[in-house]
Amino acid sequence: MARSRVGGHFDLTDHLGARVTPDTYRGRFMLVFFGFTHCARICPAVLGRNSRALDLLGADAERLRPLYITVDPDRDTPEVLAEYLRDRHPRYTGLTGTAAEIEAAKRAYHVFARRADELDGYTVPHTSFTFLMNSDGEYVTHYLETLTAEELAGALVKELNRSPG
Amino acid sequence: MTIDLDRIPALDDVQLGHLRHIENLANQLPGDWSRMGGVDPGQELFDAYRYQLAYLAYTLGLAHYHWLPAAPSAVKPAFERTIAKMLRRDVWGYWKETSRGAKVLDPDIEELREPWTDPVVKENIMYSGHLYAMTGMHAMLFDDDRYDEPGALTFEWDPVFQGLAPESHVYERSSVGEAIYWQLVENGWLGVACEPNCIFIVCNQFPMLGFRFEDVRDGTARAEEATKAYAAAWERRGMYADNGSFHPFLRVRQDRLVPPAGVANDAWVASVMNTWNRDVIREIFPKQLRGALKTGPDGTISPYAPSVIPKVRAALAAGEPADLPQDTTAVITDPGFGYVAAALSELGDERLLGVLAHADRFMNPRWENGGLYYPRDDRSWDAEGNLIHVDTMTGNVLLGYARLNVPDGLWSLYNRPWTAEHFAQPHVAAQEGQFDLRRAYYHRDSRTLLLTARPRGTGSEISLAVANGLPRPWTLSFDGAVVDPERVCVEDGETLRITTKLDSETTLALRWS
Repeated sequence: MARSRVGGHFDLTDHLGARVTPDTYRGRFMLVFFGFTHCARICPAVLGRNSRALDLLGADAERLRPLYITVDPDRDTPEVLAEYLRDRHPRYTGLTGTAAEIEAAKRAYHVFARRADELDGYTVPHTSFTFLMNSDGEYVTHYLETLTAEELAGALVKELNRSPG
Repeated sequence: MTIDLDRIPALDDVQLGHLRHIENLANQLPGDWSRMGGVDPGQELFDAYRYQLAYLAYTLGLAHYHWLPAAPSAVKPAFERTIAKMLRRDVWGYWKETSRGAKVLDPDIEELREPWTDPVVKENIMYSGHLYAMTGMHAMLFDDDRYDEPGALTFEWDPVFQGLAPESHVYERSSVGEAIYWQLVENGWLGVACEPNCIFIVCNQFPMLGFRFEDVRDGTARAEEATKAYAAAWERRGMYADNGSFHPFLRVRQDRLVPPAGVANDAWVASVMNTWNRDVIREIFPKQLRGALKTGPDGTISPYAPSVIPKVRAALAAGEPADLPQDTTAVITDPGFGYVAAALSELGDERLLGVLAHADRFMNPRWENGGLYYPRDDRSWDAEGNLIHVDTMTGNVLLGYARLNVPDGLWSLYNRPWTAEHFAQPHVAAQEGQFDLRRAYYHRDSRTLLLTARPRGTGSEISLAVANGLPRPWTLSFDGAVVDPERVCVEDGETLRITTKLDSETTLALRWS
């Protein structure tokens, strides 16, 4: 029976052009956030908060693989993602794909994202959760955008400590 | 210490009548829907069993919290029967057809979808939202998580002659909540659809109650997250029409809001949204009500037909007489009258008395087996233009809900839920015999459990199991006269059982020194 499972398989391309699935990151926790590089508010805030939290984790941050999955594959090519993340959020790996691949990833994570046209382009209002997946790629929990970097770091440490290694 | 009984909550005869009717309906044999049948054969309209059952439970909850806080025994059995009935296929089986979609609700649909029977997994918040709120309220009121046991909410699709293995959809309270939560996330917090493609604002209020009650049990904060995100999503989308009313629902695929008509939807939304959004409701609902209520003979009050309300408002705005005649060509089918009563009760609006007076004068109140209800009447108006329509939601439960509610009554359940302190107090955990409890209250200052019992019929042997009693000594009095405890009481471990013959209404006071 279909239940409210969160996460699952995805087939995407990372910002270096390599094809990736959850197996690519097996053995490390995945910190997954969906967004788009033209996002003016939520993405800069959440990515910045997440990056600061990872800094606070020190060596523990190496146990996490932060992933930024675009909900705007038309504009967010691997090159655009690489350029966007390089200086701002270097810990992050950007992931993109075809419209169908992104749609499947969104569906797996219950992510809302809908294109809203504006005068000189468009935005994509989207879910602002940061998902934590364990080293087997299974859903552990998710964090709201309202958490501070310190609160997020504390919550991550707690989850990492539950799973030694 | 002397207790002033007049200051202790006590149900009046009419309230007891509503409570008894609810108990009568809850006690009907499985599959006996006497007095609950509606016009539509497919459980698709606002008088469907699921809505009646949910409101029977909510009314029991209000009665327990506000009137009989020391007697879970008086309401818990009936509450649990309403949930048992919710799990019957005759309540949720409509979804197999409704899940296919509908042209009226989704004009762009080209073909119907493949149907499914699971009533929780996707959409259908008009069912799952109530089941979640009911089971959450049960846990909060009775300190009992039985509906969160694995498989406690299992739906069996097993038509007698199909001959195939039954489809079992296995849930418990928390997994129902999870299913709803993640759909809200997927939908950008605008809500979960009722019928496919239709996100009704009102039906998405009930899962908020469920989140809150579950938070109380689990120490989580999902209700705060959900209500904030929901409010923000609708702030962006626009919840109100130009006339200030709530849009009834959003057609998702068309991204189009359906225009409001009349005050029924506003009242229903306000009566529930008041729990988590009280400041807003206090500001807007009185405006939504402006010009919507007609004053009839002797101060009776009823809603105007939707077509009249704009004319009344125009007259009010122009400073002209605004007592316009009803539009008796309008055909009334929804429980608008009952929704208005429920909303007025929650907001503490004195016009509730006029509405109830209208019901008593024009809606044929009937007493049956000790219970009070207003029988279904499919006509809309009498010869004088008075509203006489009674749907089963209004007649069976909404008017009782309004009478048993208090100002901010549902708000209190949401914002001041019972905690361990309440559950540790003396209370009646179980009862036997033919009687009604008019009063059941633990008076903390005097360490006294007060119970006013009224026999049903000529008299009855009654038995009350009092849990959480304090250490001895204690005294028991009937109407102020101390009785010999040896004659009526047996201590059974931590339970004190009082057994006596009840010939007339009697107040029992069990006082610990």
